[in-house]
Amino acid sequence: MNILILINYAIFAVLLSLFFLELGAAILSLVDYETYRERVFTYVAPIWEITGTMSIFFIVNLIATYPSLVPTLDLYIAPVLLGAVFLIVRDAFLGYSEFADRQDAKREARVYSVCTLVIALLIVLVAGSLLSGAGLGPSTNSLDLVALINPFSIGLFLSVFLFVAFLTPIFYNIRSAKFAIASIIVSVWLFAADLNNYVPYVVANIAAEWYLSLPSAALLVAMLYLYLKRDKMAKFLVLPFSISCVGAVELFSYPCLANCSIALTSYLAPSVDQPYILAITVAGSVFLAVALGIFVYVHHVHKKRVAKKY
Amino acid sequence: MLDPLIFDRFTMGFALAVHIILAVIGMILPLIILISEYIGNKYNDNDYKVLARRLTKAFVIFFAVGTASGMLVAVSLVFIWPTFMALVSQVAILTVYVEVFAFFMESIFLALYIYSAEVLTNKYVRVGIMFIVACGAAASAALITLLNAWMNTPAGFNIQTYLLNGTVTGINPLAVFSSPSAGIEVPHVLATSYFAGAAILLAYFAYMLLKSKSAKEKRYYVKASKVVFGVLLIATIFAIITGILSIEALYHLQPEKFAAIELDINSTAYAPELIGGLYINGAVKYALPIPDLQSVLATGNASGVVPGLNQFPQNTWPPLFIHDLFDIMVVAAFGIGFLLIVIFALHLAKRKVFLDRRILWLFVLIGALALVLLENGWMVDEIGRTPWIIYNVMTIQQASNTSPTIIPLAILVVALYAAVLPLTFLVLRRIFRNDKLRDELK
Repeated sequence: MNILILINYAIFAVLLSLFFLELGAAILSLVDYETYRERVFTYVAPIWEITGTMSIFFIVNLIATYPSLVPTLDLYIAPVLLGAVFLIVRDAFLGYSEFADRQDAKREARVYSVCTLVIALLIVLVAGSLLSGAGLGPSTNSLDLVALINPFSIGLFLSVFLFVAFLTPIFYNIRSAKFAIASIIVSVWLFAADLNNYVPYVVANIAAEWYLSLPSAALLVAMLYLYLKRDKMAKFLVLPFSISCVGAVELFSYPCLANCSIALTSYLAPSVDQPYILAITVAGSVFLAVALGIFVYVHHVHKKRVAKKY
Repeated sequence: MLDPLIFDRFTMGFALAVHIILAVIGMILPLIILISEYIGNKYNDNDYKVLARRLTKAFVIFFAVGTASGMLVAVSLVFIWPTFMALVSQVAILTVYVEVFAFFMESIFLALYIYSAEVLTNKYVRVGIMFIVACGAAASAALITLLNAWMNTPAGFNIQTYLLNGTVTGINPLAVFSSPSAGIEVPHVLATSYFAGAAILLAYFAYMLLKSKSAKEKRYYVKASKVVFGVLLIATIFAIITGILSIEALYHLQPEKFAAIELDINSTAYAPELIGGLYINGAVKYALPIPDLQSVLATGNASGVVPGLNQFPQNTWPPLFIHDLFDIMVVAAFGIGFLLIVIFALHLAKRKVFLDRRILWLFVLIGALALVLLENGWMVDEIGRTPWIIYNVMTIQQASNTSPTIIPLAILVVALYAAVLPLTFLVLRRIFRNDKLRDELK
């Protein structure tokens, strides 16, 4: 497996997982803002800017890793540009809501939520097309935008929605075990059916390399165990679980896109660029991990110590 | 039939014109917050601490909008100029890639600064955190400017082979960090960005001083103005010095742009510096010549030969109105620099310059002018390079997306950018109206 592709997969898995948590926050905000406001924005408030920066990281890493894929990515200009526009509105309103009074903050949080839902829809449409090849012309040099909405993308959207519905109660500490368990069961079943009908090579890979899903299974079991025991530690497994699930799907589709009509290895950066991209990614990621670790320590651990002292 | 190239150019130009304002404000704010936080803690001065707190609120808003705007610019680059990005992604992507981490550094440490304010007991740790944020902002600007410098003086691949058959060979991925114009363009962009940001901020504080009737609030705004004025003065001096050096670099590295900026139609020795002027029917008219000055500035002596546009094919000449844009920029910059030095001298002479209404209105005017000069400078740089997007390698026409589907998307992007700045300022106004300064001042 090519290390640059794996790194790109890892960045996308982290980004998507952070976004899933925000999507859950957006849904809760719309369902009942007052009840969930504090829980939701305790997470969203410090992290939304990092998610936004992560999306820029992914785009730049994508271009650096697969430079000759740019003409194909160019075909998705409409949904991606639309997503970027909604990202500006999302960022702006979330920034405004941090300092607004309570009534204005509710309205601005609602705008943020709607924008997040639209961005989720656009991500599903684009990711669905890149996974299944739906809408892409035979030589991957044309795209039928209308074909982005198809049975596969609808099934994908529903399974993602249910996956988020599973993660959200656990992460935001909402007692809803039956709903969560039902969501994950239906989500997995729907996703598997979708893949089987439209991206069969991925299903074949799952059968051949089933062990790649063991980490996700182990995390799922541990997370559900803690959640059912009402242990708040369950929420700390949500992000690793989500990352492992997205990562597993990526590995099962490796090294193809678009129902294997795009072989990622043939779009990789020139060999002379690759060591530098790798070095910068590794060095930068180590730095990021340290910085985020400091942030988590100060924000959560030190805050508890100060609270205990007083 | 609407020409997609016009939409491509207008969309990119408009997006960058708005984004650069967000970017310079995003650069100056962490620097002023840092200085205020330090002074406030060192001298236990509540006014400076309040300044740091209130500017942080503004910074969060600008950072949020700036992040998303930056992403939109990045996405627009890929979709509006796909051929350009295809080459950049193979040869010059590393500077953009490293910039992402500088941006991450800024983002994480800003979150740390804000959300851990009440638990960081060592006050100088917060100063240190904001120092990292300010460094991240400067590093981001420098790294993006390196890409622009590469566009002006491309390096790091075999250009002849690329021009011959379109294949990219002889790649040196690190060359983008040291392209010929990088050494002067980066310092000049940093200096002018801090100049513009500081001028805008000083204009705001000056305006508030003019409006304010409370002694406490005046005291606060005077302190704020002094901090920003200090940064503005230093930035202006550096901007002028690096600007002069930039012209010398242009002479060697981009002679067509140099000739267009100076409105030199023919190569000549003892070249005069032309102030103003228009190129009409093959001749320069209405210009005020300063004898020999251009040759002296470009080559060090009056007999130095400067390039002329007639040495180059006419289809590679940039639009010659950039000469007038350049002149406005230089005259205004020198004028502002002179005024700032005079004001500084008056301040040292214990004149209460920050309470003099004439000087305060002058600061407001300088702020407005700085905004014009900021856009002006980038227009000279970008339009001055046309028809090239990568100098002598790729034209704008070759780089652009000519699909008609770009048109509605371009309209959407322009509409968004037209709304985002006014909306941001309206929200800031509302936030600070609800968050009264007098309640925070002791």
